[in-house]
Amino acid sequence: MAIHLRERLRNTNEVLLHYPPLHSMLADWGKDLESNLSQWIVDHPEKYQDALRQAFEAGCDFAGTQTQAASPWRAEPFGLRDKIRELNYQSAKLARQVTPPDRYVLGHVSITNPDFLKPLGNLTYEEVYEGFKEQMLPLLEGGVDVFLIVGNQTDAGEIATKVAKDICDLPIIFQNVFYATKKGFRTMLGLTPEEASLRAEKAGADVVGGSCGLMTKSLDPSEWYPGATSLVKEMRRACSQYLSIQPDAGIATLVEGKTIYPVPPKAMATEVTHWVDAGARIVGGCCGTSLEHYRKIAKILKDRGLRRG
Amino acid sequence: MNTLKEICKSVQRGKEAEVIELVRKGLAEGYSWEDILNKGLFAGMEVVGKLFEEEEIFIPEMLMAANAMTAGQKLLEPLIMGNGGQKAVGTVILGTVKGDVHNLGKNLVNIMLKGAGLRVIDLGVDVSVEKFVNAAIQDNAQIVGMSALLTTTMPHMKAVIDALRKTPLKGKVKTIIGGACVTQQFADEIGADAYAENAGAGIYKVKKLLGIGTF
Repeated sequence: MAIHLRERLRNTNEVLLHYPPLHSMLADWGKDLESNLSQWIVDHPEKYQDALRQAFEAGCDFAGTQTQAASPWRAEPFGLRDKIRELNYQSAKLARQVTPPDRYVLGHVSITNPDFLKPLGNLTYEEVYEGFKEQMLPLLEGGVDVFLIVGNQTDAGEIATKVAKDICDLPIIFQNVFYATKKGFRTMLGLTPEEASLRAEKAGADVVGGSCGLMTKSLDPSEWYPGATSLVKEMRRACSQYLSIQPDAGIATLVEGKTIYPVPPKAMATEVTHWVDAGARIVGGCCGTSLEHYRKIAKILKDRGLRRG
Repeated sequence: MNTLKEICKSVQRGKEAEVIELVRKGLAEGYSWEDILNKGLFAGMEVVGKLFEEEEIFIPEMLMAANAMTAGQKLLEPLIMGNGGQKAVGTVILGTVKGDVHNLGKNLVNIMLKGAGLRVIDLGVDVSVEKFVNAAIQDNAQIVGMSALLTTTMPHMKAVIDALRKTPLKGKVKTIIGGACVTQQFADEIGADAYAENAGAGIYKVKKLLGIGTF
C-alpha cells in the first residue's frame, strides 16, 4: 500500500473503484453453486488470484477477500465452524500476494447474520463481538489494508466496527444495504439512509456507503442507477464522512440456467458521474456487475480527471 | 373494548407483558382458548402482516408483535394440547435452497405462517432438492415455500419444482418462492405457483393458495 487510504481520500480528489463482486462473477471461473465461497477460494487459489488480476486490469482499486460466508454464523451450516481462522487468513493472504502497491485489500465482513440481535432475535452483543473478532483477527494477520463491513444489520455493523477499532487502526468502510420501499429507502431493520449512515459514522467508519439492495421499485432497468444517485444524496444529507456506493446491476433473472442481470455497463457509466457529483468517493457495483462495467466507469472517471492511470 | 380486541391491539403494538396479562384476563373472563387464539392473537398478527406487506411497518415492529403473540400462545398451550391440539389449516414446508444459508426472510415467513395458524415444517438452510421433496411427501404438505438470497442459488428453486412434478404430489402441492433476488417474472419462468416480495405478502399468498382467509 503506497498511500494509506485515509490520506488518499483526504489529500486527493480521486474517485476510487470498488472491489469486483466475485461472489457473482466466479461462476464464470468454474465456481459451483453449492460450495461455500471462502472454501472455494482457498481450494482454488489460482482462479481467485487470476480473477483479482483481471479486476485490477479493469481498474479496480480494491480486492475483496470475499469472506462474507466465513463468519462463525455463516460458515457453521457448511460444517466449516472450525476453519474460520484458515479461511479468513488464507483469503487475505492470497489477495495480498496479487494486489499492487497502489491498491488495497479489503477484509470483507458480512453483517447479514442468520439471526437478529436481542430483543428482536436471540444473538447477544458479546456473542456477536466475539464472532466478528474471531473472523477479523486472521483477516488482519493475512494482510488486509481496510475492513469492509457490509450487510443488512446496522446494529451488527456497529459491533463489527467496534471490533475493527479495538484490534487495529485500519480504515473502515461501512456499507448498509438499502431497499426502495413505499416510504423511500429503508434498511432491512427499517432505518432511513440518514439514520443508518449516521449510525455508521458514529460507530467510527471512515467511509459510509450503500450497497446491493433495491435501487427502485420499478422494474425498468433505466431507473436503477439513478435510484443509486438518490441514495447517495440522502446519505450525504446525514453524514460528513466519505461516501461509497455499490448497487447491484439490477434484479437478476434466470435464462437457461444462468443468472442474467439487466442493467448494462453503459447505463452505469452514464450515471456514475452523478454518484460522484452527489458525493461518492468510492464507486462500483455489487452482484451482477461485470469487469466491463468497471472498465466503462474507469474510463469516464479518467476522462473527468478523477482517476490516475 | 372487549378483551379479545384488547389482545389483538396489544399484539399489534408488540407489548409482550401486556399480551400475557390480557390472555390471563380473557381466560378468567371465560373466553375459550380458540377465541383468544384466533380472534385475539392471530387476528393481531394478521393486521401486522398486512401492515408489513404494505410497508407501513418494518421488521422490528413485526418481530416484536410476533414475540408478543408467541408469548400469549405459550400460555394457551396446555389448554390447546388438553383438547387434542389446534387443527392446522394447512401444512407448509419451508427452506432456503441448496448453497444458500440466508435464513432471515424465511424465518420471518415461518413466524408469520405460524401466526396464521398453519403447521410449518422448517427444513432450515442449504436444503437439497431431495430433502424438500421427501419432506413434502412425508408430511403431506399443501405448500412448499423456498427462499434464496443469492442469485447463484436461484436455479435450485426450479429443480425442486421440477422434482415435485415427478411425484404423486403433482398437481396437489403448490410452490411459492421469495427472497431478495427473486421476482414475479422468475417465478413465472420456473413455474412456481406464487411469488411473494416480502414475508407479509408470503402469508397472504399462502392463504390464497390454500383457499382460506378473508380475501
